[in-house]
Amino acid sequence: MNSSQQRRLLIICAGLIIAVVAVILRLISFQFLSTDQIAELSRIIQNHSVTDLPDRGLVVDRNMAVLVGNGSDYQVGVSPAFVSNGEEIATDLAPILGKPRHDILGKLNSSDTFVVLEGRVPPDVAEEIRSLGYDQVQLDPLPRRMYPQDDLLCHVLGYVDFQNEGGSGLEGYYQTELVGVAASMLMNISPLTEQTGVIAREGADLVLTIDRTVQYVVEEQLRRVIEETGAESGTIIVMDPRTGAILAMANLPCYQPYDYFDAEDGMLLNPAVSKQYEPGSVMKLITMAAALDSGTVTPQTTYNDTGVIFVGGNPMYNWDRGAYGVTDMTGLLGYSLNVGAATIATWMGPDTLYNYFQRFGYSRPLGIDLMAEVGGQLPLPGDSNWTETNIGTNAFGQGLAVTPLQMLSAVSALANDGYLMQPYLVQEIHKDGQVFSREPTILSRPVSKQTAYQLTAMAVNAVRTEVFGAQLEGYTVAGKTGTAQIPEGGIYHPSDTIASFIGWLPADDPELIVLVKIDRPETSPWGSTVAAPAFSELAKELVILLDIPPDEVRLQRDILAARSQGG
Amino acid sequence: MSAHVVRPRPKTKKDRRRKLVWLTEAQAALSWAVLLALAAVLGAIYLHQASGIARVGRTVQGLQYQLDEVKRENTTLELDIARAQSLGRLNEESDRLGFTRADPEEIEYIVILDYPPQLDSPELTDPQPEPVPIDTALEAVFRALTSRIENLGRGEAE
Repeated sequence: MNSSQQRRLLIICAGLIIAVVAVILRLISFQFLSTDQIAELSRIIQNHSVTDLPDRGLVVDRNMAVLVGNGSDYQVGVSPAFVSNGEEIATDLAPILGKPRHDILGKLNSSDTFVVLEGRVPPDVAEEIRSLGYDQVQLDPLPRRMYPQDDLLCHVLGYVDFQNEGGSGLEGYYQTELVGVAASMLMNISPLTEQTGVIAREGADLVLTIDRTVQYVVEEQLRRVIEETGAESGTIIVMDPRTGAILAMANLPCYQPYDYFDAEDGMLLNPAVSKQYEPGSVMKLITMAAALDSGTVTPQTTYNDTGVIFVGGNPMYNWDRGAYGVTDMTGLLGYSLNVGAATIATWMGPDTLYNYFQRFGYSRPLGIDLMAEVGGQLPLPGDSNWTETNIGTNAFGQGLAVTPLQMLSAVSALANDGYLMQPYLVQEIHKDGQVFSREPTILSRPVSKQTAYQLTAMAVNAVRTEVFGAQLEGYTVAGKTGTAQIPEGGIYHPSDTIASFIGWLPADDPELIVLVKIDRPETSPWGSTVAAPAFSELAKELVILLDIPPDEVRLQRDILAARSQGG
Repeated sequence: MSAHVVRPRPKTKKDRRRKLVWLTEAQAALSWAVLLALAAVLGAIYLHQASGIARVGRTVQGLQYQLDEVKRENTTLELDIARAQSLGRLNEESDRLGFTRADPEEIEYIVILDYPPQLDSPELTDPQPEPVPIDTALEAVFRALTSRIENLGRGEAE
């Protein structure tokens, strides 16, 4: 080795030593100076976060028809670095996304690694974009609730926001059950680690007591009545009085749950459970039930109707300002006399009257499985807003506020041997392969069986003699009309009313009870001319759908059955 | 003729030391070579494993994506079915086909007692008598003949 070779070897060795020293120094810096940073980097590289999001549970009717399902909207995005034909893409996407071409082009030419062209588009728009065939345009699915029955049952179902939170109705009440449990874990992607997966717990499915056919017919009928009477809004509830199961619950106007964010203020609330009204004369059923059950009166008890009564110093008149003379309790209910109702309320006294009102479930929520149920307003003696006059006005449904469901439930106790059932909407919950069934719940027994029978007989008589519009050929109907004034700014509106009717049939063995409530009808203010005929029209279809034979057929069946058992 | 024997020159200490150094260096080089080869093999195995896992991971990702797509398509189809069965559409279709709604007065009810029949207590039938085991060939022939005669009597002759 000559001296030149030795020199070059020396230089190489020196270079290698410097490189080794640099590497060692760098390693020392990694090991001791940037510990946290490197540890974090290592964690990020090695650990990959894996999340499995559960599907939200389905909502189906009692016959398993899907009312709410799951689908996807899509986020439209693009990685500008991969785009070479930006002009072309922008031209094609602009009309589909409804955005200016230059806006899209600006995003396509940006230096960002990923840009969102549209945060959320519906599936049909996504399909249109997909059909353009641009691989660079990325369509990422975003879970979204879908409503195959359109706006059917909108207030009951409620809506789900973009954060997958139920905002009203069943979606809100059963949020925990429906949403399921997401599974998430940090997965180590080192080759020496065993790879595992995560599986989310899917949301539970809800099976409702609602029959979608009944619901459809009810909504159709309600829509027709509102159109024909020029009313502002309306509510119809159909319930099985024996169990409290809701068969249909309709409120109009409705909103599209899919586009809930377009709904007007207050529209998202379910008026059947979240809005209160003064029920008017329907309340006389409850006042009369209290008077009969407490022994204050019998159906044969009479009073002298002079056309006016003073309670707490304030006069109260009949709806027609008429005086009906000596009238019995059946007549009082049949003619719907305010003076009579106020009279028997004063006979009972406030303690008895309000005790019965509370037993019928007024002033507190019934506990139906819907979000945002309110309890109504029932001023009691001792409250600042209660005066002696309330005894009279409350007796015929003024000066207190109830929800339509409260009113229906209270009357349903009269159709169910005096038992007040808790109304409910979900019959079964299907969760993790198991089925949880709901059993009917008795809330209380405000009146005896005998009182319930007496009251039903009086309500049958009221329909038979006075409310011809509510009658149904072949069936015995029990019921009561209500025409309530609407309080606005401390006084009653001079002309607007809420026309309502509650009826149940077959009266001797009730299978359904229906509330029809029409707000501010223009053609007539009266429950007997607006709500009662609507009830009759609806009942005509319901008896077919729910397979309720006419009285004569039921009687024939019972006789034959009795004979068969006897001989 | 005298034999001339050439004897190897006896090794000096220097020669032996040189050989020892050479052997030591060779052993060291061999050890290094083995170590390097081992490291290379381990590295290759590690890389093979890592790339294999990455490949499997990508395949799993692809399948997962396919699964998600199929699930999504399935959901979409289920929703399409539900939409096709929606009452609004069925109502339109029934109107188009000329169906009308029934009126209670148009329905004739017939009272049938004990309908639907109680299916939980089925009628008991006599169990088939168990065949008596045949002991001999003669008995078997006799039974076959008897059976044929009985069948003839019932009009079930072959």
